[in-house]
Amino acid sequence: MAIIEQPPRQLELAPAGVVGPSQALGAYARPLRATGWRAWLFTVDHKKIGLMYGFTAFFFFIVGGVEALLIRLQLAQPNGNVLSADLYNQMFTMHATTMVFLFVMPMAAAFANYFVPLQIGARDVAFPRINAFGFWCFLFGGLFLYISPFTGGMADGGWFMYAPNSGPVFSPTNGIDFWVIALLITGIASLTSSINLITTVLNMRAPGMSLMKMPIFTWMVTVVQFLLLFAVPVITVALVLLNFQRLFDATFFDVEAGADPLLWQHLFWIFGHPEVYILILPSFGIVSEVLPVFSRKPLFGYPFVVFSGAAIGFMGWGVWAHHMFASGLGPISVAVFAATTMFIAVPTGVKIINWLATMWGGNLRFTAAMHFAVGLVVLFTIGGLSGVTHAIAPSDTQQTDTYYIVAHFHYVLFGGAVFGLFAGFFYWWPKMFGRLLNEAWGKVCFWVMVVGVNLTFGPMHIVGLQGQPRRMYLYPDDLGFSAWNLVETIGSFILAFGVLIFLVIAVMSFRGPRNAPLDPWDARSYEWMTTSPPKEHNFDAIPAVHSIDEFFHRKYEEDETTGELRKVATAEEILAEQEASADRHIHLPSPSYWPIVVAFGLPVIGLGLIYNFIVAGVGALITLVGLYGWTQEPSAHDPEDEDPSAGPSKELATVG
Amino acid sequence: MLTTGSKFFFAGTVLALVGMVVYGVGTSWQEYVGWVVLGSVATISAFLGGVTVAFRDANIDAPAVDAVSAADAEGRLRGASRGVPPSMWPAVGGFGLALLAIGLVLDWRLFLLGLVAVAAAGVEWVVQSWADRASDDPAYNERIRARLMHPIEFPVLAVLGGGLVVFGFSRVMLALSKEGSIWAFIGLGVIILIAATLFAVKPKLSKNLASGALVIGGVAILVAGIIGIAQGERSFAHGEKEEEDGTNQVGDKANAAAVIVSEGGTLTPSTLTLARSVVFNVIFENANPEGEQRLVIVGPERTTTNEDGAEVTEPEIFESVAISEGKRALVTFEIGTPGTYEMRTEGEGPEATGELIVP
Amino acid sequence: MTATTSRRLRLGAAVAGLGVLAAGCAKDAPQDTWDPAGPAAQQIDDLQKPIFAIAGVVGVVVFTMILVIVLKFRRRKDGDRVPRQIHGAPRLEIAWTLAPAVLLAAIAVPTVTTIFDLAEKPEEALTVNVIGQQWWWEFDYPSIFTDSGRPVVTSGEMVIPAGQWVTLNITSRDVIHSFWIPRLNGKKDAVPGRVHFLKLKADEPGTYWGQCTEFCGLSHANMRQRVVALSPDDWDRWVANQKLAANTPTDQLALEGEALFKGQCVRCHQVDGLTDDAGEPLVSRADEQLVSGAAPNLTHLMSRTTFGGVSFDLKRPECTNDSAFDEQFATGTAANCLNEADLERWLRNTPAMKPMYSQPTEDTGTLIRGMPALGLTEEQIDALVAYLVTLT
Repeated sequence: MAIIEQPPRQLELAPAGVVGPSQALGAYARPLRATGWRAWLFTVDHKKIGLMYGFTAFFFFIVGGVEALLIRLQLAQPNGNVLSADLYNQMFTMHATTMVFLFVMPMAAAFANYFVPLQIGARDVAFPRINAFGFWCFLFGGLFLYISPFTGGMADGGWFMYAPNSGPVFSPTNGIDFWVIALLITGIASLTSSINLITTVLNMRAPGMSLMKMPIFTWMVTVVQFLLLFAVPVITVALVLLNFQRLFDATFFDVEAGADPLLWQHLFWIFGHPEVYILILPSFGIVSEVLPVFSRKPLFGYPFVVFSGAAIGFMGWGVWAHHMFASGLGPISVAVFAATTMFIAVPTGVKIINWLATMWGGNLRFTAAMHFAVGLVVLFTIGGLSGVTHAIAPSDTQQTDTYYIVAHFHYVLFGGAVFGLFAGFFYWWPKMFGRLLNEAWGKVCFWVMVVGVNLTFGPMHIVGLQGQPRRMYLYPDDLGFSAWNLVETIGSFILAFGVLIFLVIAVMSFRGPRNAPLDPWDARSYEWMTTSPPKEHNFDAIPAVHSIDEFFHRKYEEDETTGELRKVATAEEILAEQEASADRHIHLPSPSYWPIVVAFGLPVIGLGLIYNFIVAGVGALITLVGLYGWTQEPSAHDPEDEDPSAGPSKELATVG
Repeated sequence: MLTTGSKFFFAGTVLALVGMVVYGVGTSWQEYVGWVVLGSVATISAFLGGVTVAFRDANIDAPAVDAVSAADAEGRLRGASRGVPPSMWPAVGGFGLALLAIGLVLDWRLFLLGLVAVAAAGVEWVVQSWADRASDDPAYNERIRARLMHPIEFPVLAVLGGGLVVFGFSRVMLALSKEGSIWAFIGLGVIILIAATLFAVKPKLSKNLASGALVIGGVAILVAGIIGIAQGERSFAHGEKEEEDGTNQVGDKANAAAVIVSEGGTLTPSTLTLARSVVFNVIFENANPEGEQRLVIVGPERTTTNEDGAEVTEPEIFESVAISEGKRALVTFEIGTPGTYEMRTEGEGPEATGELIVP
Repeated sequence: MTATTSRRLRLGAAVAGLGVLAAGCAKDAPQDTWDPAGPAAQQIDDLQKPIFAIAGVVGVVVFTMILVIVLKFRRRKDGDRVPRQIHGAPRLEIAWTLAPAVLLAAIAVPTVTTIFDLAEKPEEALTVNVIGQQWWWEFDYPSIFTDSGRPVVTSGEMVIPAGQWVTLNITSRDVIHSFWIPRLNGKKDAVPGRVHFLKLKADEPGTYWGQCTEFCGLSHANMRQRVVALSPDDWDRWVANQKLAANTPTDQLALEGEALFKGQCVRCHQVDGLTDDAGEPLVSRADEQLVSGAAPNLTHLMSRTTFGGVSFDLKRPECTNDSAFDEQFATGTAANCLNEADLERWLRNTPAMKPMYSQPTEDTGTLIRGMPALGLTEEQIDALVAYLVTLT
């Protein structure tokens, strides 16, 4: 063939060589802003991603709850035969893993994703596509974990997965391999999300919002992101070591090869202890928002609450070996960790007292959200006090691995973290969906759950101190545990009923019209200066910040003579002011195909590692091609890509 | 970008690649001729496809380019020659081809390296020539080339560069003594801390200074790694660890089954009773001034095959390294058969014996 | 309901919880951690009870505060007044940060003292080596030798002299287990490759129960242990008995059982006194059968009262009578007290009674983790039982 050159293309460029990113290289246009399922699959909008996190996490809450009910059914009577030993061991492993990694962490991420940008006056997070990628990683990781029941058995080594029991000799099924890889994938979600949120909080705050004027929920979430940033790599290392031990015959935890099994314990708990603060701090943040609103007083000692949150985050790194008091560490290590553990009770106690001081002298309105918030204060105090008794190391050698510990962490996790999340549901539901959750039934739900929590986990203190160990698929009838265990089982079903009530309330809320008032609670913080639900671009004009509780200070002014506060503006008026001075050129990130593609490759790699390396290669190819596509797509919405025939119903980013 | 003709060739590439993989898997990669031929077909197809893309299918119906004026024609000429910057990839490709040939003869690793070089050169060369013809503005051409290739080039370079640094550091760790490696890690941590502090305190640090420091650091680690390879690894024989007296480490040392002291011809304790089938760590301490000693435990008889393939039945020996006075060494052992076994010292100084009872 | 009633309900629930906690102490619970029977457990108890009390007081104070707040500051009919917006009181906040810190520092002092006390090795003590494996405990007595010249090895029930310190050296043959006798001391993990120290002393003779308290796999729930503390005379009698080797039975059925045992069971289970055809002592080679490398020593099986990792009683229920403890234990399980039903079920199909991994897996080669179903006929089982009864 003859080689004839075509003349080089003449460019009609304005100033020399300015290339807009929308001059894409053909194949990689971004999807249009769509409706229907495509709007969710390719979205990068933090609110949609937050909602997806929330619904998925709640689904896994139900799954984990069913696992718990099965456990309780097996333990309702001595020598129970509802579950075999093998199935029981799988059940408690999966219950804990699901609740910690697939419910509480993602539900906190749901709130964080939805509300952090709203609370700081940003229109989205710093890296919207990475945000979407994080969600898909979480979803695929969770689904990957639940492939294991169909491939020979779920993981059965406990959520703490101690070596050498987790090795291939002692755990022959693939369940633990699925567990390890699922946690690696969801770990990627946590890590990317932490980098995203830290960057967002540090860089994208509204004008005038210094760090000490940020809403307290955003502060707690920021501390959590820093904890994640440093803790997730540690568990990743541990999981990779275990993965290599199981799949590639490494000897990291083989005693014959000279390994010390305590290596796993140290690595796991260096992650595991900050992990529990990761679980509780978002709920502390929610409660710190809810209590002031329903006491009509500002959070007492905001700087102290902020610093105690940061202190918990920092000191949390120095206490991990209190999970190992009976592991043979030696008296010096045990004494040191006992001391540090005792001192970490101080910042937590400070928070509780500050909350009480917030309510003191206030005008308390007991809405459903307030019920859950006060419930958290009571139940977390119980859990926290039993935690202090664990810090006494000799006493802990009697308590550890018994139901007394189970009681402690369920009080702080259910009574603490979960009650905080429920307070967040009731508080922020009107903002997210423009509808209110039924208040009366919400209070019923609260009381049923309180009874359920206390009936299920209260007696565990007793049987634990009476010597009932954990993680046992049965207990004999001659140890005196039988009566309380039956009570606990009944309590667990009451608790489940409470959750069911909530589900019904939630579904019912979508039946009615979207008619929630703009400011149903007379709230205080920044995110309430939006429509309900917020417009896609959040704020028409980003309000400037002059103080903490900016919204409250715009509504109320101090009367010069009496010193009392009187209302000078309603939420509607403030919003109208915003709309009147709306920004003319709002630029939102465009949807993208690639986050879900890249995330999809990861579980394929996982399957390949377990079964067939060619499949792993295919998965790696999907991920790499996806990453390449991600780099090639334009980083902004190209107006030429729009479909003008779609009409005005499609809300566009540009305003004015 | 994909012209019609090139699609034919690229399709051929894909088909040949798939064929190669199927053939290879089916024959467990043993039948070289088959998959090498298919792989070569794939490569040639890809090359031809790239050529067709670059020359736009040799379209002879392209309109001729008329110069508007002499000055314009001159500008076009200058622009045209300006628009083709020099490129190293043809050279890399040639070098790779040569490596391919040499590797076929000498070593399969050189062959692989040549293959990688040819593949990289092929991709880069094709993309470069496409970019050079995209417009007459060389800056624009470079930008779109970068847009396409940087997401591949930078990660690959990072993996290679980072990998080299990690490898170098690992060779350093292997060559250093146990204490030395502790100091090396501390040193590295301190350097990173200082660098990070400097960056935090003076964010406007000159780019040249920063990149200069990184380059020096990288080269230093590479050089150290090469020295480490030359030195060779320190001894890591299983079951032998030397320990300085007085260091108080957790793990084996704090949880050893026993501490056996050899002094003046006696072992203290001289009788140990340890359960069967348990991995035990025992610390041996030499308190004799005369010289180096090791502790030897003579275990049960084992039947093994030695290097010549013959079956040999002899007692399993567990022993420590030889240590001088005041030092401690570790012995790790597991004995599955009940019995009474001999413990003794070997080396300089008075010999001591004792008993290990396995119930 | 009114706000008052609902708030009262809430505090009532909290108080009731505490009351229940207190009431929970008076139960028939052999593993009760609040019922110490030895100085180590007593020391822990002396430390923890005051601290529990302090925690309880703090809890009551906080709940009372909440109740007061909830009642006093609840919204009245006039509704929406905005109260004084107090942002904080730094001096007060510093005070209530320091106060708990000081209290905790005070608690830390006796805590650290107790930690070091409990870690101190007693001067004159009996040493027992405790080895955990899936799913039973082995106890070796390195200072007590049988007539055949080997140390005494038992399993399941650790017999010790009452009123004397016992030093335990705890380790494991496979995964991590944990040795725990609540009424005598806290627990200590049995970690393979490491040896951990724990001390026990029982003030009075008696049986003290415990369970493995580190998840160790399938039958973790079926891995229990007991400490049996004997008075000085009983202890001497027990030691003298343990030193004897097993005698050749005289009964025909028992002889058949012995032959069966020598053919099959002795591959894993050691019985001192058995000889092979050449007259050499038979040594069990459990390391060639089991991943963990050992099976319970059965030389004096009938001197114990439980089997199968203390999961099943060797004695029939009517014979298990606390009042005649000393006699009960010192003489072990007499033939007329034997729980044949459970023992025969065990020999018939062991994994059905206690879940185990009786088949080798890819990573264990030919070794198994647990006792397999032996496929014995009823006559063989009867013979075996007759033989086992002679192992007093």
